[in-house]
Amino acid sequence: MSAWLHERRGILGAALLSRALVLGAAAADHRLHWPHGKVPVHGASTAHTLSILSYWDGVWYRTIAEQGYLLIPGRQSDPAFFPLFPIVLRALQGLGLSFLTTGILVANVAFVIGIVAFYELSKRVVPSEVARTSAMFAAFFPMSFVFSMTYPESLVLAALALALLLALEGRWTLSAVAGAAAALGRPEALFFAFPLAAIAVARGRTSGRAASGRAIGAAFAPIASVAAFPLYLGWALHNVSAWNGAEHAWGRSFKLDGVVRAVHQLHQRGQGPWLWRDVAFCLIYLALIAAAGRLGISWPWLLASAAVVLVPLASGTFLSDARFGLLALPVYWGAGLLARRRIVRLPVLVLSAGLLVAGTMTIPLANP
Amino acid sequence: MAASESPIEPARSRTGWVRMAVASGATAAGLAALLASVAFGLQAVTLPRPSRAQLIAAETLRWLTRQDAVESVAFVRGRAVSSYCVNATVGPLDGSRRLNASLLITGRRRLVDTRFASFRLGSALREEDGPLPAIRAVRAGCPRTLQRRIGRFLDKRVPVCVRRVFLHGTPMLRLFFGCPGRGLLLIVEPRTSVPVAIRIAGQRTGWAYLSPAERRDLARPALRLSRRLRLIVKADV
Repeated sequence: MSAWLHERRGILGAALLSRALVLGAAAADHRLHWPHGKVPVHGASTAHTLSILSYWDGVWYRTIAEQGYLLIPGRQSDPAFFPLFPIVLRALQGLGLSFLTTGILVANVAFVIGIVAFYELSKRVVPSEVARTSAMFAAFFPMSFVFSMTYPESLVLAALALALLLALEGRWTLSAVAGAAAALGRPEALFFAFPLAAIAVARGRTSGRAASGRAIGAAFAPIASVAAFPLYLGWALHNVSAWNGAEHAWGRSFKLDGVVRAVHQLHQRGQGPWLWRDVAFCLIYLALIAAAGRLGISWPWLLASAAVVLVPLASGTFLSDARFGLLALPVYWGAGLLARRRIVRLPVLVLSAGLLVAGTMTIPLANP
Repeated sequence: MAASESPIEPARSRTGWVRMAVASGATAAGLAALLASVAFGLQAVTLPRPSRAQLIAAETLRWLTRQDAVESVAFVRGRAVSSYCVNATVGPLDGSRRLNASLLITGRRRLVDTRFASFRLGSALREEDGPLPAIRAVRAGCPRTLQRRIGRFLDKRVPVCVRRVFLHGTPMLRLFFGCPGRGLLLIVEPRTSVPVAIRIAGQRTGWAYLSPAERRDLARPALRLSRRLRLIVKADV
């Protein structure tokens, strides 16, 4: 165990240091009462030292955990949010902590597990030096403050990395469970059915009959899990399409001309800087996916990550794409490849850490 | 004859392949179905479900989102007073863009209610103070205003109670939003959740009876909207 930890101490250190930066920046925001003015999210707590980590959609996840789902026609409502994070919050209610504290605790612990799992996965897919740099980049990535917020992103990162890692090790049942958990957290996890299927096809040929069936099952697990959500909404709210209805109220109706509308939105007056941040990250993600392609990453992985970044644009906006793209794992391999030389790696990691702190401190200013 | 040349062997291997494919497919489907069931079960066991009354209220809200206009009849001092309320847009006010509004016409009185303020329509638009104008719009069943009010109750997960009642001998459901004394009461049709009567608790006024209405031309002389006001207040397209 100690040898295992010793080998990964650099990665664990990066994960913990990056979280210390995020939590420290959030606490500093609270201590300095910065920025002054109204809380940007109705219903968000301001009393907690780390309260800014519950902003944005954190309030919605808390509402689901406390009161369950309810589709409110004509208004923004909570069936737009997937259930894994509220389920975990509710399951840990027995600890006696507030939903906010539990949420931050879960998100950060899951992030550390996710980074280690991602490192293990990377070691099996890309050269070890690139794997190490990639995991460090994932930890210090400028948008990775979202992994410390009361959001399901870090749980999904951990589950996704574990699902792919376990599939590569041929442990299909566990991979299926992790894949299903990831898809119950964020629908984007569905796209990783492509690399899971590719691994299943490649390994299925060499393994026995039952293993092959379980391999295909693991590839289908995220799809099955995503399908369980509308079924639940159908049972609880008597409305199978409640997710669609809620997404529509959030201005996220998916249409064929969505990408055109998203580009068109950029020409409209009065767009805030946060939209431009999302556009910039969308382009960075695509460039890094292309860089990952140079590493010889197979097309199902690249397709899945491109889908994670590009499919949200079909809803007619770039808004939040910087957050969505965090789960496109090959992005970090692309970054790891570009910064594999020590002379490049250190300055880029320092810059990334600085942007991570800045990103954390500006959470109250943005409301994506 | 060598084993590989046997005419029986290909058929056997094909059968074996089909068996393997069927077994693999069944295992895959079984695993996926099991995980979907577990995912469903986890949600069902851990997350609270909305009450029946909240679901009926949400259905009523859905009906309201589809309405352009509503007619209502209230009894004031024993006299029937009818109102007509239509979805409209108002503005530009103070240089801002047009706002979604409800235009309420009760006899000679015309009221415009928006999310931010209410206005009386005379020869010009005059802002009305206090909550009374919005209460009037709610009581007249203005689709947009009532939608906003019920939506806010549901958003805050205010308790909703449901009770079976009879309205003119017909079985109906009575929804009660909020605390006794200052809530909203709605009588809805049990099958469709369409609201048929409304009352605001704590107000001395009684029930107002609602019915869906056709959209009317705001230029009709009977509505007494001057040309200038019709430029400010327009019916929704």
